[in-house]
Amino acid sequence: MNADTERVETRGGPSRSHYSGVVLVLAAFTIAIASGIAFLYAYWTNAGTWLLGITMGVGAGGLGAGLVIWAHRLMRHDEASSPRELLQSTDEERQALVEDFLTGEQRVERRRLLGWISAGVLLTLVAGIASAVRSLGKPPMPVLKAPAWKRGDRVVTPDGKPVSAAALAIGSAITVYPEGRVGSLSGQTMLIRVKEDLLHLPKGRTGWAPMGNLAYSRICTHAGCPVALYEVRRHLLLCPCHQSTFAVLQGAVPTSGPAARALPQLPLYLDPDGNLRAGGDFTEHPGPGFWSIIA
Amino acid sequence: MDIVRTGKGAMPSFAKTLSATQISAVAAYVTTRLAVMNLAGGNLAEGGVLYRLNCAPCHRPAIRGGALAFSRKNAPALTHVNAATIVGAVRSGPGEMPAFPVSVLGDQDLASIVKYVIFMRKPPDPGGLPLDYYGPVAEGLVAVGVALALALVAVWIEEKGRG
Ligand code: HEC
Repeated sequence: MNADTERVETRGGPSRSHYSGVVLVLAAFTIAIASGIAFLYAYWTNAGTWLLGITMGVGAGGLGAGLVIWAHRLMRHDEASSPRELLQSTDEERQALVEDFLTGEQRVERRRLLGWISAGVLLTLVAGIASAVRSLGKPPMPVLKAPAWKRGDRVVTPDGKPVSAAALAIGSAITVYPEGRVGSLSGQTMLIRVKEDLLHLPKGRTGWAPMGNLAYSRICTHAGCPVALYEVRRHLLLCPCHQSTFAVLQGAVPTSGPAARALPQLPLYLDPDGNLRAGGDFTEHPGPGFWSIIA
Repeated sequence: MDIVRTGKGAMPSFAKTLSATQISAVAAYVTTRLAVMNLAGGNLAEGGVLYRLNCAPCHRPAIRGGALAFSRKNAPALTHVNAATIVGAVRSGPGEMPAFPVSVLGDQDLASIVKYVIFMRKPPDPGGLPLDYYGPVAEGLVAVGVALALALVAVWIEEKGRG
């Protein structure tokens, strides 16, 4: 194909297919914006997950359809190549530029409309994502940084009953909380009873496990999942999310998996009534280490 | 009582580890406990809370069983167990499973858990494929996989259409 004829073809004003392409893109983007706004409405009025899903789907569909039509109809598909020529433009080229300038006015207008509507789509998209991020809730770190237990806090079961040193059979494990804060995030603790003579706790922790009652934070130090799988025979706490294991008898040091820190231990002592109480706070902040980096 | 001697399914036989009198003691314990337990008095919602707190980490919230570490023996699915098996397992703690004595998990609580487990054999079905009840993350992953496969098919059709 000769360069001149090509120029005549493409610069001879917009074709009909180009025209209908623009209309289709405008229609698709309008649908995307409308369902984006419907999504925002549904989100802020709690209209239900069905509506959220439908509006999100239609919105994404409109955006995608618009982009595809744009690429197919409005963009050039032929490979454009030209031999290396003199840098100075030929007379015809200058002439063509003038023509282009004169006929292209309409086209610039339409492109501008497309630009505006694309900005509209982008805006609704950002607004939708930004409001949905709100549903992730508050960052957990401030809660986890506050002390979870104080010396003297009674250990209680989820229904608020104090736990005596003999309440658990050897080989039992339950979740316990500080008295008065049942269900608290940072205070959740695994209470495990083992045979006392098997214990091999780190130095400085003698007497922390009266009658073999051990207490460790229930939040995995890797990614914050509840470490509530106590394998009785192996004396392992296993995190179901990424299979970190912690050796219960040795102070819950990690023995495999991605966790790098031991589960914080809670010192325990027996009060005169024979009930378990906390001898202080956990040995470290509960929860995974990275939370302290981002908070 | 026979089941303690012979073992069944996941539960090993105790014929070698326990004497005959011990076995009958265990059996008597389970039967009396069951007799005094008012299983009908369980509360489903409470059972759900207690189950998710104490049992779900191993047996999964949908009672379909889950994996343990370094163990060929995983936490089994509870879809086929009856009330007596649940009570027996919770109080005695078979294998790697911890025991939950009455002092920390009352009979009433256990009755609620039993109710929840039995309810979850056939959980409410909103339609669609349950995918073994692995939950929304797994379902989303499958949906993304299907969508990607469809996208590949679309690309393939387009390529073919171009010739
Ligand atoms: C540490 C993980 C763990 C926890 C927590 C746990 N289980 Fe288990 N459970 C197991 C394992 C492992 C087995 C299989 C034991 C074996 O036979 O070796 C089992 C077996 C059972 C069985 C017997 C199943 C059968 O087919 O005979 C029942 C019933 C059961 N568990 C119910 C419960 C209930 C109810 C709870 C909560 C109160 C619970 N489990 C908590 C790990 C656990």
